[in-house]
Amino acid sequence: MTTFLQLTVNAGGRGALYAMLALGFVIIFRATGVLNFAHGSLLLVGGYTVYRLSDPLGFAMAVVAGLLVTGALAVLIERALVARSKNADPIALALLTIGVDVVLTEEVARRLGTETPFLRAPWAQEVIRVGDLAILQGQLVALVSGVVLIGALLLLLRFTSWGLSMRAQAENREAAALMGIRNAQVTAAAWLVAGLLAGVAVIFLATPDFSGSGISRSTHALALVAFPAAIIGGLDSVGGAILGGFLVGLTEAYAGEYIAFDFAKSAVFIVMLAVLVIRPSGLFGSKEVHRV
Amino acid sequence: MSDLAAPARGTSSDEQSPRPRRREPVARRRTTRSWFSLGAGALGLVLILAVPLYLEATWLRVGEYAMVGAVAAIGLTLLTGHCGQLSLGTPFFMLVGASAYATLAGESDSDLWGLGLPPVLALLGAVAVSSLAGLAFAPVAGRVSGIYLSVATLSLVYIGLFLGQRFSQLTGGAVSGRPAPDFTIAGLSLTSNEGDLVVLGVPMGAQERMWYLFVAFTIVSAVLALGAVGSRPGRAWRAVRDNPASAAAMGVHVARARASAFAVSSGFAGLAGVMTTLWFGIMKADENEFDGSWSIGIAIAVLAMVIIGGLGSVGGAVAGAIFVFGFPLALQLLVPNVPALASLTQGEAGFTPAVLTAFAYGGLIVLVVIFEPGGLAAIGRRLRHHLGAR
Amino acid sequence: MTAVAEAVPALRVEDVVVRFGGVTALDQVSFEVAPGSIHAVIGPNGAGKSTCFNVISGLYAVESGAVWLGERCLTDEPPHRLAGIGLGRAFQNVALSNHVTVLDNVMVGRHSLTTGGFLAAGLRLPRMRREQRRHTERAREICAFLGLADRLDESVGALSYGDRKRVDIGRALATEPSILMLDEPAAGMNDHETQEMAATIADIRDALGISVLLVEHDMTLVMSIADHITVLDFGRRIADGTPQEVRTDPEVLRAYLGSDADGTELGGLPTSSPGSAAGDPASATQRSSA
Repeated sequence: MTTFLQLTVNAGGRGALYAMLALGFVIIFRATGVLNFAHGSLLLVGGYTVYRLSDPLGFAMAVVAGLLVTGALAVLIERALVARSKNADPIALALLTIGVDVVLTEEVARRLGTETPFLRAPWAQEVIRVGDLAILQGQLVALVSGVVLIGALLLLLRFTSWGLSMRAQAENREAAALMGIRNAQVTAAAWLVAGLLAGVAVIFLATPDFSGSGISRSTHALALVAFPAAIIGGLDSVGGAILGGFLVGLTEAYAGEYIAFDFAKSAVFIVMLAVLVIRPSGLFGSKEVHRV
Repeated sequence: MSDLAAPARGTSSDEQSPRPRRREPVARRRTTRSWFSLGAGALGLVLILAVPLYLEATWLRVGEYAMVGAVAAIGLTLLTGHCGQLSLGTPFFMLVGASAYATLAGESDSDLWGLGLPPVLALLGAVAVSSLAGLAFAPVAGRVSGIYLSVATLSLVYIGLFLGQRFSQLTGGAVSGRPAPDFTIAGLSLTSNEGDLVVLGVPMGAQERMWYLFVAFTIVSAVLALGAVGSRPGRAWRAVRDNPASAAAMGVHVARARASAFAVSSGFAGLAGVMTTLWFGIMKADENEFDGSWSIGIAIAVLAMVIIGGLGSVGGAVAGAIFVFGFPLALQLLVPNVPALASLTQGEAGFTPAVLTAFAYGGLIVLVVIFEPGGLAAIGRRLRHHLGAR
Repeated sequence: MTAVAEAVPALRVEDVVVRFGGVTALDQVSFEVAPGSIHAVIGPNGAGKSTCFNVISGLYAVESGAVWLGERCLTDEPPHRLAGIGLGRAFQNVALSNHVTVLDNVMVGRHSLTTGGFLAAGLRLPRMRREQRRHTERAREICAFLGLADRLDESVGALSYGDRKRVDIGRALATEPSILMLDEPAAGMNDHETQEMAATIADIRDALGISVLLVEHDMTLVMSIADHITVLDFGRRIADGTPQEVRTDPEVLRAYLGSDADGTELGGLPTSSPGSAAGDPASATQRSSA
């Protein structure tokens, strides 16, 4: 029983990170209609920036720099590339983000060479004991940060005019434009937010509490595990992304413990397949409607 | 448009309209052009068959690996280009094909299963098994579409990773692998040096023979694909891609069309998997999902071939494969001989051939999507128009 | 083009009810298309005309009622079987493959009349090549009839709107239907083009002897070629008869013009903007074909 509780609690932190990444996917999808395969490279670029600047600037400032870089990069990808492919359908745009992802990932991998450095976060590898449970401090910080950030984002979406513009544009782009909503600004802001979320997520994902290796191709691969989180929830559902993120975190933890360690990721994808077969647009996603 | 009504009204039976006369000159021009392309094709064939007489083994391997990619890319261009289903699952079906071949043709021992079948049978079996695997996935493809499908196919790579490591009796596992059974036809080995074979004064070693084998595989793949594309199955796929509801109204069973596209492309991928195993000489499962022969990296590489070549174009798929798979290997061979390259790739900066190629095809994907969604095929068509117009 | 020798069956829509959530889109709708006639379904926006069409061609499911083509019950069959039974349909928004040639698009219509999968096609088996030649010939005939003979190898996306509509009709004709369903054939056309379309439809009926069922907003077209008209409003049939009967029917006038219509006639009056076929009050997911 304690193992189960232990797993669940520790999966909470991971789930929060996946939720953040999944939210990033959903926000981009709602704004641009594209699944951003370049998210993994955003993680890598952010993590690499923090790594390189940790020594000269100290961890906290390095994190700020990392966030700035990932945010800016996300906006750059959208403005310089995605916005230019105006007539491209969602599949072509997804392919575009794959191309960007390849280039960015190779560049970071090239600079790292054979190193896979961990980010030296101040909370890393400390353990908090609550009764029988041993909670990694990193997991806790991740969970709390996740909850705070996601909560703040939800509040922003719900109660600010920016959030309203975002929701309006996702609903009906043309009508929103006619109502005076600047599509370009809203879209750029959406990508910025997604980039920032990725920038936060990597600070945790590249520490020993969460991963066997530091900044490397496997960090990039973690973003791929966040895809099922967004898909399970439904690509255009904000609530679904959050639920999906935690679901994926739990699935990974339980499958890794109770079935086999190396089955964890496959389990996540199999769960996603099962959900898709029952609900082809995810649990809360809206169905595609074709008019003939 | 105003004179449309006239011929229609008059044609209540099979009257001859003036059109046939107008058609003749066009037909004549087409025949000259088709003689030209026939001639060009024959010349190309002769050149390809002559290559092993002049190039050495290390260079032959470059071309062979490009052909592996070509076969996989041809399958994917049918699935994604003609039937509109974006798939990242190609490496999974390659793995299925490769392990099926290794198991069907291989010898069994304490850790491995093997049936010791003749390689040709094992090859056909491997293609059949991977097609069936594709068919098995088709119900998912039938229910799920678009972007959701692309991530669903990504699942296959992870499932393949896990199964590959688990079923080491079939795949040889991720650590040591298992030997790739020699491909022989009626006693003649096409993947090893066995038996002295000399053609036109040139000894046919393993790589020379493999070249011809792979050329045969590629040509067969291209011919089959082109045949399907230009007739009933291809038309059904395209109708389903562009508007499933109207395709159904025309009598196309949409789910079956999608399933057949998956089965066909998985069969091609299975063949590419067999070729991979023959090329490496060993069958081995991957250690992780991003590095290795059955990885996401390969999924993206094959997708890149298809996009760069032009979605739906068989020739484009081959061209894309030559670039994405052939180029890095070729660069690697050139590095010792070209000092400028050597300083670039071996310096501190780490611009290895693999990295350079990745930059190149990543960048090309971006350029293609933004500027020329038809890829190399579209560029080729426009060139031909310009040349033909003169 | 030779006339069809066998008898063309009648299409019967019997007490069809279709609901989307809480909205009743079709309420006990019944009508019959006599063999070899041109039958129009008209009605104000939102009357349920497109829903009716989609029900007949199997894209929507009925809650109750049935559609019969001769002895075959269409509502029991999956959509992809209907072409083989004799239903040919052209679409309102011209659902063609834009990057594909005219001939290739029309040949899709031959799908249910041909056989052969990947291997047969890939290996270019002689049987398949012969079949392909025969059917291509027929497709060319159909295209020539519709005036598309010199555009066969052009990409559909490059054609004018009117030509694309013809290709869509050609594709439907290629299925050798007993009844041809045309969804707003005159949408987006000016007077001249509408007249040509009317002539084409009449020619098709005369040459092939098949029935034609059309949904249309354009009264000039409907009144000039329809043999029989069914009028829908709010999902119910409010009139059914010859053009003469319908144009003076008080119920119909009320539906189109409001209750102040008196002693007026329908026909020549713009009843709605062309091409504005928003149609259904609700969107629905289609019946899947598997």
